[in-house]
Order: sequence, then structure tokens, then C-alpha cells
Amino acid sequence: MKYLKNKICVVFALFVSTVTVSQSYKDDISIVLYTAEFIKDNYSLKPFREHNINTFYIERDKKIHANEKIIFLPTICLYNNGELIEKIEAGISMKLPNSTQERIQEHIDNLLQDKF
Amino acid sequence: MKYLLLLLFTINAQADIFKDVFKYATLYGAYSQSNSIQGNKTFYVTQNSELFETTVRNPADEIKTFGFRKLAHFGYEDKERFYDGKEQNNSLNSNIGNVKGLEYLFEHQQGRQQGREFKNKQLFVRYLSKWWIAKAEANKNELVDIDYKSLDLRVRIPIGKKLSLSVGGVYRTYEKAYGVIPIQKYLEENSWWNLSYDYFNHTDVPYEWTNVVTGETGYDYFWYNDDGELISNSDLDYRNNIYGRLVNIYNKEQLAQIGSFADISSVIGLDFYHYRKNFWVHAYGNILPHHKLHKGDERYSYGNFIGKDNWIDYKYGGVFGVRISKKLGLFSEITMQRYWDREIKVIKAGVNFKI
Repeated sequence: MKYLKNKICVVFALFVSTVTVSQSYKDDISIVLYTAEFIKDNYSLKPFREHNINTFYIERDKKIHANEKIIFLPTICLYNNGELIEKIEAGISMKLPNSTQERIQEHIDNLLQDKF
Repeated sequence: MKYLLLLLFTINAQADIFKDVFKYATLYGAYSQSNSIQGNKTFYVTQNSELFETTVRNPADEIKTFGFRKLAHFGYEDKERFYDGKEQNNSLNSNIGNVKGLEYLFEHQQGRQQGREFKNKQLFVRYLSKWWIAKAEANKNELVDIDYKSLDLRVRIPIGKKLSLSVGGVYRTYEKAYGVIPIQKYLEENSWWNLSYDYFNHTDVPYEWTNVVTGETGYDYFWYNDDGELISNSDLDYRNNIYGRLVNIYNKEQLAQIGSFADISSVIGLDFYHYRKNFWVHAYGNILPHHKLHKGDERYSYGNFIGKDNWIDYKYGGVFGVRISKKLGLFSEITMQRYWDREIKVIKAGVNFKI
């Protein structure tokens, strides 16, 4: 009983830190670019900076690439609260389609509209 | 040419602002009617044994609502197909909404509940940026007797993407001198019947009564209103049926004379939001530890009433939900608020099991 309060505090702190850190790159509306450093002229996520944006390079984040089953580089994914909404992969030219921004933006508009 | 370019720029900028402000906003109006709760049947029997029904029948409850809103739902909140003014959005309670930028709600309700007419008005505007929060609120609810306005400005410190700390100041107005009971002060200096004489022009006439069976005698009073009509046959009956109403009128008038107040308070807030389809936690809280009276009669201020200006006002709440399996789910919701001497407590908890 003496240490119960401390135990509860530790459990709560662990819970908060776990939830806070775990897969936060998929929180809310998140746009994630999976790419590699050797790809010159990488796709820019600047048009989506109002939302959560993340870039993972295969050289540095191999594990994430493996977990997300990324086969083609670059690949861009749109998540909403952890759920994959859209995945756009580059072709053999290692370039994302020209319509990438429009496609992602269309999904984002729909997600935002659903919130209101 | 310069002016033309400037004009085009201004028009374009205005169009962008207009789009940002009104995109996803909804204008709504609704009317609802439902049966009101009826009391038990009551009767009156005359001296000649005639029976009259005296049941008070409440007319149907009705609400007319007009509103304009741009308020994002949290992931765990059920989105109604249509807005009718009965929505409960935690976004109004928490410091952080589910979107950055501008959110607002303007709502006017008018109607009748349990035979009582009411008018409610709510205004809420919040701008949420990465590093600061600005919020303005005005709420007048005649059903729960709330009337306040507030302006809240804070610096925001995001801790990761889910946790947010905010520190700043709140300017709050309140229309009533919380904690002050005018009749209590009056009765400390006067007898109860003075109120009837001095404020309502009621008069009393003493009479002697005799119990014809026991021979017991005593004195009591007939009470008359300011038109000279008999309104009560005894002090007890007068206090039971009439005096309470006079006290309410007196309190209301005296409080109205005191006028409104405004406090400036420091505020510290914390928000945490995590949502996944099968598990969500949303917690928020505010503590207001220091206050300074900005407007109003200091003698009747809440700080003067409790004798210090560092009382703690607080508001906190949380929502928790988990879907353990496809069939089993648990949820709970809590809201606690204490502003001045007013407390609000809402607790909900439950379990769902689909068979």
C-alpha cells in the first residue's frame, strides 16, 4: 500500500510516454515520405506542412521501411489516426506520379470535411 | 498600374481569408418538440365536498435553434448527420481542438422546458496555432442560470504531438456576486416580516383564535397584499406559500443592484489526445490559481467573500474508450469544473456487449 501511489505514477508515466511516442508519425492526418538519400530531387512535403509530415530514409530508418512493407522508393503514404488512407509508389523511374499532390490533397480535404 | 496590382492583391487576400474562415462551416436551424414531464394529479376539495382537479399541465417542451458553426469533432465523437443544437462537443471544454486554426460556434436557442420559457446564447471562437491559443467565449443559459464572458490568451508548448502545455491569462466576467446572499444579511439586521412591510407593502392584522374542543387560545395574523386582498390566514401559511417568492425577488433585485464583475486570472492548462479506432484517451485540464478583480464592487467580489485572491478555480475532464474485441467495449467520460462557488460534475461510464 505504501508504494501503491508510486507504482500508479510509474505505470501512468510509462503509459503516457508509450502512447506519446508510439507510431506518432501516423497520428491525426500525417503524410509520410519513404525514400532514400541517393534519390536526388526528392519529393517535397512542403505543400502539406499544415499537417504532420515525416520523411524516412532507408539508410537511417530501415526498420520502419520494413515494418511498413515499403517496396518502391520513393513511396508516399497518407495516414489518419494510424489508418493508411492512400499509398502512392514511384515507378521504375523512381519518381512519384505528377498527380501525387492532387491525390493526397483530395483525400486530406475529405478527411477534414469529415471532422466538421 | 500600381493601384490595380494592389487592388488585385487585396481582393485575392480577402478571398483567401474568406475561404479560410468559412470553409467547412455549417449554418443550421432546427425545431424540436417533445412531451414535457407532468406532475402527479392534484385535487382540491371544497367545504361542500365538491372535488376539483388542480393538476398543473405543462405544455410540450420545444426548442428553436439557429446556429453557425465550424467546430471539429474528435475521433471518438459521433458525428450527427444533421446539427440540431443538441450536440455535445468536447472541443468546447478542452484547450486544444482537433484541428489547428480557427474554430467557432454561434448559437441561439429559444424555447420552453417544463412550462418555463428560456433564451440561451452561446458564442465560442478559438484560434489554435502551434505556439499560442486565443479563445473568446460568451455563454448565457437561462435554464442552468449561467451568464459569463471570457477571453483567454495563452502560450502553448507542444510536448510531442499528443501532449500540450499552455500558460497564460483569462479575463472572465460574471453577472452575479457569487457567494453573496442578500437576504441573509437583511435578516441579520431585521425581522423577517420587515421585508414584507418595507419591500412588498404587505400588511398584517392580528387576531385571536380559540380551539373550541380544547379551549386553547392563541394569536396569529391575517396577511394582505398591497391591494388589500387577503392572501394568507396565518404566519405559517404566509411563510410557507408566499414569503419564499418574496425572498427570491429580493435576492434577485439586490444582486442586480450590485452589478457585474470581471476577474483577470492566471491559467495553466494541459491537454492530451490519443485516438485510434480501438483505443482513445482524451484528457484536458485547467488550473486558475491567482485572480485579480478588474471590474465590480470589491465589497461583493468573490475574493472578498472568501477572504483571499488566490483561491483555485479548476476545470478538467477526460474521455476514455477501448474496444476490447469486436463485441466488447468500455467507455468513460468525466467533466469537473469549479469556477467561483459554482460546480459542475458529469460522470459517465459504461460497457457495451454486442450479442
